Amino acid sequence: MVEKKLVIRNKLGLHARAAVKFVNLANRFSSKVKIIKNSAEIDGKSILGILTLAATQHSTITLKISGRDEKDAFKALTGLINDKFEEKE
Amino acid sequence: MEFVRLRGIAVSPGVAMGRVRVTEPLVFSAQRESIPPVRVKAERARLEQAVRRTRRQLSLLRSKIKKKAGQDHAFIFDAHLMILEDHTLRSNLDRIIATEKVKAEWALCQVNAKYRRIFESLDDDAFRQRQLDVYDVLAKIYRNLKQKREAIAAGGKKILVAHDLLPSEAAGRLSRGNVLGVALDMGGPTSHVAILARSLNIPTVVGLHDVTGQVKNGDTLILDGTDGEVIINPPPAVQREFESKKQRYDNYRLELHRLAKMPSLTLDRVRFTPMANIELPEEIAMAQSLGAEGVGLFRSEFLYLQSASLPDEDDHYRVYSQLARSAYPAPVCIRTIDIGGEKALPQLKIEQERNPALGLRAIRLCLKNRDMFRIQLRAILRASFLRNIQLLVPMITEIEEVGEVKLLFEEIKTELRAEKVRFDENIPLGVMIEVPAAAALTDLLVKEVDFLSIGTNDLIQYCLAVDRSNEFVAYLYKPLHPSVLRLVKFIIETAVQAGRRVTVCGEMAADPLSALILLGFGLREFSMNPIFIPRIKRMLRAVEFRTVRRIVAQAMDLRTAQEVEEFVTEKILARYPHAFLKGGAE
Repeated sequence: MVEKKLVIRNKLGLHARAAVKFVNLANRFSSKVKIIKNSAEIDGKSILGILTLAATQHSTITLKISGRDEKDAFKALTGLINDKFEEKE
Repeated sequence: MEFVRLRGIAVSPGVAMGRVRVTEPLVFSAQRESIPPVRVKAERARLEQAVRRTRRQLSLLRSKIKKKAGQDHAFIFDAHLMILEDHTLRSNLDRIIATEKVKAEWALCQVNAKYRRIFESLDDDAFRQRQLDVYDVLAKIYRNLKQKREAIAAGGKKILVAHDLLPSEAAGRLSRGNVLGVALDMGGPTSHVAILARSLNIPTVVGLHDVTGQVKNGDTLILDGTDGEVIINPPPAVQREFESKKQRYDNYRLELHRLAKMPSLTLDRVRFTPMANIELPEEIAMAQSLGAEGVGLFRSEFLYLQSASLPDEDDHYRVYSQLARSAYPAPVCIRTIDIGGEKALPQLKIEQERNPALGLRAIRLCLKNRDMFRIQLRAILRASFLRNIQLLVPMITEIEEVGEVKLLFEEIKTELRAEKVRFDENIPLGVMIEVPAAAALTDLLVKEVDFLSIGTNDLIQYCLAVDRSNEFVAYLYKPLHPSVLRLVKFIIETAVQAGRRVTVCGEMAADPLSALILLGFGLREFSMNPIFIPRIKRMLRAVEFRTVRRIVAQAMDLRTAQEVEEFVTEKILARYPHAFLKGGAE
């Protein structure tokens, strides 16, 4: 299992557009993807789960991934978050 | 005969008249209907079928909207499709049917209530609003549970009246091509419906409060998306009035679009460039639809005037990069802050001046407040990586100022290179010629910069020593004053000879007669409020440069503004009787 705390950096946070990108990417891997914010833990492959986290800019989330391709999934998903979901700001 | 007029917010221009179709809001029945245990499997299959139908509809809508309104509007369907496939949501539905032994309708209702509670507990408004998307998807499934498909409303084109439209509903209904206009109780100018209606050219009035309460299916409605007026069951006389209004508007729009697409060439095929003076990045689309081939003047003042504190680098960058992207590949000329004098800036605590027009303003203010100026220059450079941004410095009085700006600019470039920030190494630097002293130095200034922009409003004020807002002397403010014309002619000819670009971005560029004279001087770039582009473009397309140049050259020997005006008008009309015709586009 890999686990890491990350800060949401893009201006709009993990909003609908970003969530769609995240889920699409997460679905490419067989590993289980969990996102934890405060005390809530949600399935990272569920758009509704992600939206109900209301992860705004500067909020800290923990990404927890386990499974056969966890390393690749981790690299791809942290990359997306740190790349501000390919958003300009 | 009685008829009702309602006033709302005009959000998408145009006039429409037609029969009303009232759209009922989607509602869930709150009825809990039990089913026998043996029916559970069949009920889940019924839900599954409704989900399949919904998926098909959403995919269809997505491709349709993508084609008609662009990828950005289609995005909402990606999100909705994903919500539809969300396995937490789906397993919730299945579980409720199986454990509570209820109909799928009730399960949808329960799940909707659950998500509404969750989303309503969120602190962030943007996230709270996402409950509408969940509702939207669940309501679609709900409708698809009914075996009988709602007959596609017959009877041709209608005016759509509704309390409000959900984003996906709006996209679906507006893209079918059978909506003449839209009238809503709710909504504002920046709502999704408004933006979509504008991009699809559907006249729309929102914020009518209770239009749904006042009309029924089949009523006749006149809808004016330009004035924000809605008239219910108008008598024939009013109908006829609106028919002609609609006709005029439609002709006008057609004419504008036709003209915007035509090449900007004079009769003897000399190319000119109409450009836009704007203040907000959002204005670019409208400017381009009117024929603007770039932004000749972006006024950056609004950035400073809209908030109590000074904007930071990212505030600037966001606006400039949006500008660059929206206009790309067309050029955007950003003028650094032109403030001080009459437009005070409370954040800087500028002292009241006895004579603000001659005081600490524009570049003078910037060179005094270098930290503020650096922030703006850095943001402009950072936004320049698409290579379509130009930098324009206002109110230059002496060569030394250009030197200081260039020094500062180079310093910032070095900084950015060290930070490995991408920017346009060849970003053009230009200055505004507004002060007669700068005008007289044109031959020297052109050697220092890449282009010139003539701000005729200030140049005329300083040249004639006239404050046009002072009613006692305003009569002296004359753009065609021979002295103004000599000055402008000298600037344009000197720039052209030196192989430098020169633009006029004052009101002279938007005035038909003045624009002709500028063309005669050799000007090719005319930047103005975009609404004037059609009339200037039409006029310049109707004349020959050669002839205009000859007439204007003769006019330079005249003694007064009035003589110039009469002479040029008469000569032009003799040669081109239709040059000043206003036509449909006015």
